[in-house]
Amino acid sequence: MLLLAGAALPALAAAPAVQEAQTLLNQGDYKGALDRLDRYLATSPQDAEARFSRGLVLVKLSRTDEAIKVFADLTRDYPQLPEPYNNLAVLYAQKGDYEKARDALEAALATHPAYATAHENLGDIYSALAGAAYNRALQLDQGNQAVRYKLSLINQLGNGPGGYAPAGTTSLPAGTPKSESIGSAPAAAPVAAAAAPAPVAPAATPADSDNAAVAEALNGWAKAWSSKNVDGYLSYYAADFQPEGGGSRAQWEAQRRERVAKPSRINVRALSPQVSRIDAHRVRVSFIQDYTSDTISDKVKKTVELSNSSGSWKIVRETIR
Amino acid sequence: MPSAEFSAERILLRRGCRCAAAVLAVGICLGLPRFSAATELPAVGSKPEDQLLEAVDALRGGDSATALHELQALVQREPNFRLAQLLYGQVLAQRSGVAGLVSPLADDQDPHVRELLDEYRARVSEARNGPSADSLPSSILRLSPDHKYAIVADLPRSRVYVLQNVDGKLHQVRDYYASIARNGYGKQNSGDLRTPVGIYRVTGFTPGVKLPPFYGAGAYPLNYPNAWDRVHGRTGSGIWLHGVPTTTYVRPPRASEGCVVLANADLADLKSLIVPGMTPVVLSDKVDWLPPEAVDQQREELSKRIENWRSKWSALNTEAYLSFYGDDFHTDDGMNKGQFEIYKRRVNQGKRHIEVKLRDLDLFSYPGEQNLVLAEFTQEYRSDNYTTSTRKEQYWRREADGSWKIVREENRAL
Repeated sequence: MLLLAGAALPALAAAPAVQEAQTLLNQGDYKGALDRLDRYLATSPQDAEARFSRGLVLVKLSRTDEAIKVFADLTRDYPQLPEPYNNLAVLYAQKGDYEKARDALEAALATHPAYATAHENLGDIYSALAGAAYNRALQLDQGNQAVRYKLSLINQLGNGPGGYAPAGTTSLPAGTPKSESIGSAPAAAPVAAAAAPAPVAPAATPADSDNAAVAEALNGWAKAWSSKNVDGYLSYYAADFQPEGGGSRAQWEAQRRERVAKPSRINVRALSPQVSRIDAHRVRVSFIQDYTSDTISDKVKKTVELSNSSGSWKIVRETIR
Repeated sequence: MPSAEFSAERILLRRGCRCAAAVLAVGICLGLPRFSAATELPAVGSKPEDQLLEAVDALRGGDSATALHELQALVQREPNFRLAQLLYGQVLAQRSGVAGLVSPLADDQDPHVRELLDEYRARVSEARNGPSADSLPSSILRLSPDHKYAIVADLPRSRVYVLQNVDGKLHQVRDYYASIARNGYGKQNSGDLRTPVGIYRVTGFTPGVKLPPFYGAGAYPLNYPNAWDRVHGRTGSGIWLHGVPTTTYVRPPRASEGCVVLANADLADLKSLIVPGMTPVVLSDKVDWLPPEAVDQQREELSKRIENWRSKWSALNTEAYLSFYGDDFHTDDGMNKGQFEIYKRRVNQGKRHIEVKLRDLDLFSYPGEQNLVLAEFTQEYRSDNYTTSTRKEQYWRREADGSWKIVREENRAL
């Protein structure tokens, strides 16, 4: 969520006409606000507060390119003010130009290192840039996979689970908005794919006894991995386990032996497991794998399929999303 | 799932890592151009890899601002340098403070991620464990002054080195990241997707404009299969040094069907160093970097032995001359040792005098073989009724009794 600075510019006293326009803006009368500002600016073309408010009104009217010009001109005429940079950044980001957005935010922070909104926005821009860089790294520009990091990017800009945007920002009293949020409108719909897990409705509810046995297997698997008990860990995989992405089971096993044994400390937890039944002998479990080692830690969404055709529940497939 | 083994991830996902020793090692190796004062080569500016390694170094030191700065400049300069993009993404994700960004590194089952980590390891390992500036590959025992440069590829380590020959003394002048065949090295058969191990020469150059975009800046074909490959019945063809399509900066360490693949800028850089038809290319399964004097003894031993062979032949001492040939010697046109002896006795009997002169001697310890040396020289043969000059490839093997014997020889026209 990118935050648009919307307050009166701190250093300047607003003219009565501008205050009126801001009231109209807060009441949702964007046309009226624009008229008022245009009339005022005809006589006082350099009034920073009026120009700034006009930029905000243009944003509300979705006249983004004009708004960009207003804020860009302000940064040139008043380079010491961080707010125009910030808003310029938000608008660039909206257009997907994260490099320009970053430059604008860094300019804002250069003059006002403690400007919290710019810091928050810069974090979001960084995460968006990270997503773009990941896409380029993996050449994810077409096909299904292409969406992977774009989704997490949109997720971060929009209503992601991270809690990185101050909770209070959107619910500030309407009369004196300190700042307001701009969601990233385009393509926000499929966000769920990369977002924090939404509970999956099980296809059919497995019998309670199976449920317990599956949970036990999953916990045993995480525990064996955590204690670097390689044989124990591998014993949770069925003989016909198919490694994701091809490769033989023997190659996979050799690789796993090496990797599971390598770190000096591992802790793996399977959080929020969701069990659904595939058929009489197979279930699918989706969970958050929380992995911490001496060198890295991360959380991924993992799905495993287990089969009990051998008498105990063993993993036959394992995928990460 | 995460693979904690990779130092890549260690630095990528953690700030302020405690591996001070590694920092030091990388720091020392970085930015030291491997140039000798003797070279007249143009200086190479900061290469993309240097920039990447500086960023890695900064990350190791916990300085992610510098790393970000370097990587930002790097991805602007080389947007298709995928490994740089990955690192850049990691640093950005880390600095964003945004929770829940899923790094591609979390998915080590993804073959693309694995390839990038392999490339990362190859590059960082080179910076950390690459050859010291004054060492030389022990495979080149002697390089005649008519070769200004020689190329040595360390196939398992994804690296190509260029050695400059100044008055018979070699110096490291260039090194590049290189991609080799999908199934590694030690080519035996056509289609086995391996890069050959052996000693070759560049036979020509085809500029990129005359090739499909896949080959990038151009291609230098090699003379695989050579005489030794043919002895072993190795098949296949079209082993080249070539570039990459413009959609990528480099290819993963194991990606080609047998060729050695360089970044286009690096391939272009070779243009002034390679002489088609001449420049030797040593494709090695292992490169031992030793002080230059380490090969003195073997060079002297072989040089004397070859001179001895020449003088016995030149003196028409046929039996002594034949004693230089191993029991399993074969000529390239199919004579075995016994047939060769009969033939040489008959030829030499018809001569009143002959004179054999050798020049431009190259000596290589043959990669992938124990106790095999390839001698190449220009041979000027003059007898009372016949005169010829050829370039000879002669394979010498050290026998169980310690003596060097010729096991194969082949002449080619000059």
